[in-house]
Amino acid sequence: MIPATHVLVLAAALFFLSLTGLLIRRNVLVMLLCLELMLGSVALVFVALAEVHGGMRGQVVGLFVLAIAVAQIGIGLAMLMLLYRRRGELNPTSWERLKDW
Amino acid sequence: MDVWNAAILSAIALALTAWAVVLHRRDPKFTIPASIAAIGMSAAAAVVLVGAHATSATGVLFYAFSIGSIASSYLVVTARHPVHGSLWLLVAMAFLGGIMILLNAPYLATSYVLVFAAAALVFYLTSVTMVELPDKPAPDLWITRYTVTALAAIVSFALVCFFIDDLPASSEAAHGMTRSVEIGAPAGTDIASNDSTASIGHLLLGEYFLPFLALSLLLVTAIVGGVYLAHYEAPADTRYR
Repeated sequence: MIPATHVLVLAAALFFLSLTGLLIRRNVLVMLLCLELMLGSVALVFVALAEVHGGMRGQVVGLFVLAIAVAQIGIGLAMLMLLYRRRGELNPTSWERLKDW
Repeated sequence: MDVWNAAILSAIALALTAWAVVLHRRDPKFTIPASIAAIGMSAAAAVVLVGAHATSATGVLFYAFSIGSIASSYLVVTARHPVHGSLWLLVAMAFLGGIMILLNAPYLATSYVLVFAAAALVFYLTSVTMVELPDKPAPDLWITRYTVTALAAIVSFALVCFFIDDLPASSEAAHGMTRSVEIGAPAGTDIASNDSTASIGHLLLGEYFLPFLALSLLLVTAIVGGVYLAHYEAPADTRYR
């Protein structure tokens, strides 16, 4: 048996760790990985609170979060390929100017 | 979570951040003592937590998986090469899946590990092969921005920890508990017997049918959009090569 607060603290730690990664890394591939981790920690909160309150609703929402994460990685990688073809690098600061596109 | 625990957790986060900053400098004069200090602090915290709360096999597994998932997420965030980062993401997802199994969600755990191992990671590695990674990674973590961002994240984390205790208050009242709600399978329970898969299926095709449809529409849109974006030909004068 695990105290519910510990699961929530773990999810918060994972969330803020990957948020830090998302904000500091300048490589879009790694930034996408950090986004996936953020969504995973949110799903963990849903699962834990489903346990606290009983029932399966939290797990269903966790499944929705999973599907959204997959849609996000698909679109994100397609955009990455498009932007890479235009600029030839993966640093998002080179994509600040969108006017000529 | 009382102030003291939140402070301890934030101190651990701070130590790990300092470790990352020092690792970035890649000078053994700094990295070796900082690594020893950070590992020692984390191990001490782990021993305290496990000793205080792990009274069953479930508890021990939960703390082991938590430390594993935090460590591998940390390696994702600090990975110098995206392929290493993606492999560590797989490890982190496996640990998250283990925690979900302990929380009576075996179906969700399986989907997370399968989807991330089979689908997302293959997409990801395929696109890594299509881009040209720089030979020598550019200075990726700019020290000032890194420190400021990490400090902001640690302060937010401490605030969230401080308020976490309020969340399960309603169930605490309902169960007459005073301290914290204990969740997860008690030792010796057969997790597969409570059949979360069937319940999830009933909810998806019953109460959550419309969100389920909306989600499938979203996935179809994502597929079409992804194909369109990846096939789009740039005009010749703006193309990289």
